[in-house]
Amino acid sequence: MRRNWSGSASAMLAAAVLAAGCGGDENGGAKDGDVQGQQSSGTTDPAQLLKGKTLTFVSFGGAYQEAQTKAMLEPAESRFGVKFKQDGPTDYAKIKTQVAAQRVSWDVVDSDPFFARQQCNKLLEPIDTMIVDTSKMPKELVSECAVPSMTYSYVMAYNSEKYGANVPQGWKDFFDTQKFPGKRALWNYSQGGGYEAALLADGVPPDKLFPIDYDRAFKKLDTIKKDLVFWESGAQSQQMAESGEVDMMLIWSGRLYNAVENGSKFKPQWNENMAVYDVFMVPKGTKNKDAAMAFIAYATGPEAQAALTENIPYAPINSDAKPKVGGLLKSYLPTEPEIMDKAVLVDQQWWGDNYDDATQRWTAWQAG
Amino acid sequence: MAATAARAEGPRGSRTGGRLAALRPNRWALLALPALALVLIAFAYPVFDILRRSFTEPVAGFDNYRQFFETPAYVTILRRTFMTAAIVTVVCLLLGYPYAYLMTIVRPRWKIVLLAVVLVPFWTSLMVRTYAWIVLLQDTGVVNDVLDAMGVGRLSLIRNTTGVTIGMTQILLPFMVLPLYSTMQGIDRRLLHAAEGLGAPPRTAFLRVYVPLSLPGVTAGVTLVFILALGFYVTPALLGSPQNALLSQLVVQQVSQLLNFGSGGAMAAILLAATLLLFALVSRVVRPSRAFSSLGSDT
Repeated sequence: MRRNWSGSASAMLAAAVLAAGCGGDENGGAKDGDVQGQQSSGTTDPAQLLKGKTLTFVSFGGAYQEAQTKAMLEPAESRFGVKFKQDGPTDYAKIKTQVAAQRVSWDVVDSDPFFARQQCNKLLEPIDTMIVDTSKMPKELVSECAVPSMTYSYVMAYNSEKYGANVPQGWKDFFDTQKFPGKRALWNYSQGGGYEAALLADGVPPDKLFPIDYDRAFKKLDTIKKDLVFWESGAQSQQMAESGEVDMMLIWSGRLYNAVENGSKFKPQWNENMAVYDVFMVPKGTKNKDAAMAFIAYATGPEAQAALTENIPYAPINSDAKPKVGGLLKSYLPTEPEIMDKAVLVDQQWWGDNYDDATQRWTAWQAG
Repeated sequence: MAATAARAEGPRGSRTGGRLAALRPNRWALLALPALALVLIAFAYPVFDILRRSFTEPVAGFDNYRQFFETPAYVTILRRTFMTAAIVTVVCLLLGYPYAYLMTIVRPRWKIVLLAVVLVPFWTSLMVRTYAWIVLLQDTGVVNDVLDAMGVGRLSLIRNTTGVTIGMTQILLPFMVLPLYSTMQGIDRRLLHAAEGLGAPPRTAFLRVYVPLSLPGVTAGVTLVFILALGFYVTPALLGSPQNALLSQLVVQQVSQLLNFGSGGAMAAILLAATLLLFALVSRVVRPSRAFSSLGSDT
């Protein structure tokens, strides 16, 4: 739209704009694949691709983005001479707007995996596997347009003081208000584990969760609706775990760890924890595609992945990464066998294909 | 030049001259240009663009609007948005009217204290205030501890309409109190004495003289609070449950989660249209221009 308008303006003006370099950049962005492919045919070495570049890194903010800065961005800056600008939080609408306007200012974005599968080749560039080594990553976490950036889990946590020795054993007990009275909390988000928790509680085997049976899930969710409250943000979930406002909740493993460190009486029940992860992805049409890929290669390497875990209780996705952590933090990492063996993997491809429908249904259920 | 021409016509000016002078661009009016440009660029254009998208994305036509009214959950949320705004407006009026009245009769020093109490929350971040309410009102919070100690027992004060009403009222109260106060301090209190002198009991004098004179402030306050309440997002999200979600939360979901700019735009347009319609109806009963003009010309 905007381009058409400027195209119909006077030729002089258009020529001036092109000469100024602005139009040239846009062309470069539009035909990115070919042009960059030719330019970069020489090297896939991250050091050369990153040198002297300035990249905009976008993530979800808070403690997570700070940990990424320390573990990935700052070491890359001092080692490769690359510079980072940061923005956040990740906002899908902004990616869509930037790509539609062909003014992509975000180069590397930390995101939910379903989005990368839903928008692959539409709003996102395919991952250049010549630059990014995916061989050390769990295969099922890699997709055409994204590689994992860390793993964590949606875990059930309970108030250890309230339930004493008789602790809830899984999602079935989460939905059993007779045996385990008290308020429960779920994430107010279609993709936040609510459907999966209800189906697991209703006896669906973990490998048969997808496709989600909406009617069955809502029927089960309805049984505890009056004992159910919802949280909207990570900070709010942590606040609930610390204040003891609820007795049982679904919470991110990292937030639970923070709450426990702050003195919360909550404990994790790792049975049927849902294995989830974040991804790195590159918006379509960025001028720094190769440098962005090179940074992703570095950030998913063993050294940066180990450093991330040393800064925040999320687990590395690179099998060579050996973070030096111990004690409580180590016991919260989804890579620990005790947690991994009990994990249920959420099917991100299904979520990529069904996100819109599942979200509208979730909203409709809640509004009623 | 304009100034000399006006002066030549004498202090009163002829009728036509006066009208022309009003139309002639005043040099001082140029100072309004930056503000006008800002409003056009930062407000009018985006609103126009949202409307345009609501009729063009993903396909041209009225699909986004048809879908909205065909989805029962959306209509429920629209109705709830107006209901919540109405409740908050009534509570603000009930609290704000006596408060503003008190401000007009206390000594100046106390007036400043009362004003500060209303304004201080203005200078605190919305998020901080909302989280503070969570800490105070939650089941294990300070307020419930006190109620429990008093033998009342614990009440559910957040994650329901009560929590949303408390949080929104606190944020919107200044928008009710300030217009009320500005109207009330212009009311000549001798009129009350006159009414009483003519035999009206104090209650009658207040209801039949003071209250009608304060109505412009009431209209202004009610209008401001109601319109602002319609657009609330953070407070209902944090202090309410999903069953308290307002339309703005739905718009955010459409735009930033589902990337449906057209559908989100249609929701915003429906809210805007419903609001304008409502105020067209209200303005047939009360003239809103009166509410925002000074009281001097009416008395």
